[in-house]
Amino acid sequence: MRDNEPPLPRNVAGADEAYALTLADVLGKGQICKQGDVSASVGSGKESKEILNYATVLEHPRERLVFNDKRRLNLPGAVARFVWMMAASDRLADIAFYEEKVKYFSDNGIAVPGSNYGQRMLSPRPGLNQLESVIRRLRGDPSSRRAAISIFQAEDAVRESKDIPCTFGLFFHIRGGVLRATTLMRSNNAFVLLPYNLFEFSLLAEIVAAELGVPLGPLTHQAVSMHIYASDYNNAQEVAEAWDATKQSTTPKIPEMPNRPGPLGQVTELVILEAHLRHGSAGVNARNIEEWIERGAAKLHPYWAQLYYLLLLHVAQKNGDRGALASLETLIKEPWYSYLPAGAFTAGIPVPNEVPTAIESPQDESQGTKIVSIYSTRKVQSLKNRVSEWEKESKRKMSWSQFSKIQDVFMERVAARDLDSEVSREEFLAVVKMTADKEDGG
Amino acid sequence: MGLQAFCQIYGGGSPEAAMRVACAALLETCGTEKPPVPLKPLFEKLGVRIKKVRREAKHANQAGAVLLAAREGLTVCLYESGAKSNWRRQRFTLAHEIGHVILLRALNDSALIESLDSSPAAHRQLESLCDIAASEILLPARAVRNALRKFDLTPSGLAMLYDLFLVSKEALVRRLGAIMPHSAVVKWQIYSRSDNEKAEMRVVRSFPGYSREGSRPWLPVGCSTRHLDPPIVQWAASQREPVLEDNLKIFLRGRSQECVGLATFFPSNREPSRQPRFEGFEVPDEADSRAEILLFVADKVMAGGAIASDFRREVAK
Repeated sequence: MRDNEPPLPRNVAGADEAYALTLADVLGKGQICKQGDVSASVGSGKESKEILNYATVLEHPRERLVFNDKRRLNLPGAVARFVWMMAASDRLADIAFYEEKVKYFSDNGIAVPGSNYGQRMLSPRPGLNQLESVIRRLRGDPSSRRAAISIFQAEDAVRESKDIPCTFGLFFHIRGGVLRATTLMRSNNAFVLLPYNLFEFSLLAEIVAAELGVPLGPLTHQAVSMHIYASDYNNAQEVAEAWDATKQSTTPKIPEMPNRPGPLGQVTELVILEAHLRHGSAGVNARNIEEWIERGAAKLHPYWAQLYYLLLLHVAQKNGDRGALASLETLIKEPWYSYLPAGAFTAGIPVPNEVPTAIESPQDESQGTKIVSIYSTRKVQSLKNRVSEWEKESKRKMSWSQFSKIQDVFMERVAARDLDSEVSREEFLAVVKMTADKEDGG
Repeated sequence: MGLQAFCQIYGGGSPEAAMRVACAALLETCGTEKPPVPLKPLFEKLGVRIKKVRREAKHANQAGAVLLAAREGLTVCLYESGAKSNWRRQRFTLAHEIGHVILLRALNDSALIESLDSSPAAHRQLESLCDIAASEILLPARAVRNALRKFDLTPSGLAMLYDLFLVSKEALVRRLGAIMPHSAVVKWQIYSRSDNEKAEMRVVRSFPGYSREGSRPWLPVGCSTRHLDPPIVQWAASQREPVLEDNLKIFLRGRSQECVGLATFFPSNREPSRQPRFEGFEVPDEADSRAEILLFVADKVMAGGAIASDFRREVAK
């Protein structure tokens, strides 16, 4: 093989093998490429190893999880990327909720202008849905060569930005009675992003197959530039060696996507549920987790509900809520359960010294000492903390009636979207004084 | 008015959701989520006393209680019948009163509290809300799901669940129906609705009830097995064996629904020596009722075929 001549497309079983062998190929056969630092690209000025026109064919794209001993997918993060894509969103905040590093790809801190594949695919302009068009074309003519989705647009060839789409386009063919999907990447960071790209585009291919009612065939993943940055050489080497040691995938089997209920309809439900979940995430806790679970269970087929539970898991982990995590542990099933790292349902969360009070036993019904259990927005949570501080310092119990008055004052003060700010100590003490005065005054 | 305030306090989108949140909070506070859930610590935490009153013999089969605001604080007045077989139902009754306590404590305002009971419809909603509380307390969702990973819904599995949660069969079945997505439980018995009608296997009740939304199967009271194809309820009754059917069709009002169904039943009552013990007390089985078949049924499209393995494990292997 001449220098940098692309290897023939590698035929592999699934994502695990594709990932390890791609890394081995790029490390072993890639050319060193030092990027100039004239562009806004995140790779600007960095050294990498690269193979041009690198292709790999996943014979079983349903095996979409990288399960390497040295590196595996952040599963809730991968699901979130997929849902964000299917929401046709370009909002940074929506995806940064799951993966903060995305902010490095935004020019203005608001939008992600190039990796917004979903928006480019599903709604580049009102009424223009390329995915629906692919399905319609293949329904009308299963032999069609026109079932293609263009991610890269003409303006991307011209504009300066931190984020020019890495994906160029997607292609779908029905040949031999199965759906063969092709992903064409302009540029692919093999170490960091390839596992996520294989996950989301194989899932998208399976949606197309299920909508069309044809079996899912191989997925070809081709990158015009498949590369690894110098900072990742050692880690990539470890991944390749870990695969080399066993040469077999240990990825748990992923079930086939049901074609009824229709996958696109279920994805829409999932997108709506995800938005609700993200907006209400600060209040997700052990006490209301069953409500959040029920919302998903009522709308989704178990196949899709599992993806929703993985998003809930991310939120429960973020909130450090042991009870919510314990509930989710009873719901998340194989193969997802085995894929999650050990301790996914407990790790890093300290056992509380004291369970927070919900409804305490009053000494006297008419002068209840404390009844505290309210939907946990950050504001309410901080208010409860201030009450506890005050009770400790003053060595007095706050009466329920005073607490409810204080709460009313704060709840009246907040603007509709200001539930996320905390109650300051000074603000709290002023309101305590005010409400105590009123109580004293009759 | 009162229920709106309750929703605001507990943050649920509905009074039912708010009650579920409140009950979860109470269980969490008391650290008593493992089944069978003991009620004593909950009453202690709430500072509510229980006063037992002997019920008259003519009402011996009824469990019942009322919540009183006595001088010494809230008191649940529990009417005891003396019939040991009512023990499980009595537990549900007590847990139901906890629902009332939660509402009282949350609202803490006489006008709001009175609004809960201001009309017959409001009263019905209030009682149903407190039934939800009882179910949430005695059959916490997480614990039920955990149990369903170990036990299926065959007679032996149902017996294990019955002993694990120590609630009545009715309460257990209702909760199972509510907790399994896209599913329902339909209770069948042999009876006729009038003298002119043949006594045969008919629907006694569906849990949860009818809803225009969602995919849960439902059959109205009085339906015979002619609405099922194949008639697995009849088969299970005649063979005294649970029957699982992957391709069950429910016909109703000219429409059919593809389902997965398991026709099953609770085993007969046991010798007292084989009954479970709880807090040193031998928990009796409920009095045997008329032979009944339970049809656990799930919408096949929405629940998927995998639900069959939750219904009956050995079949799925």
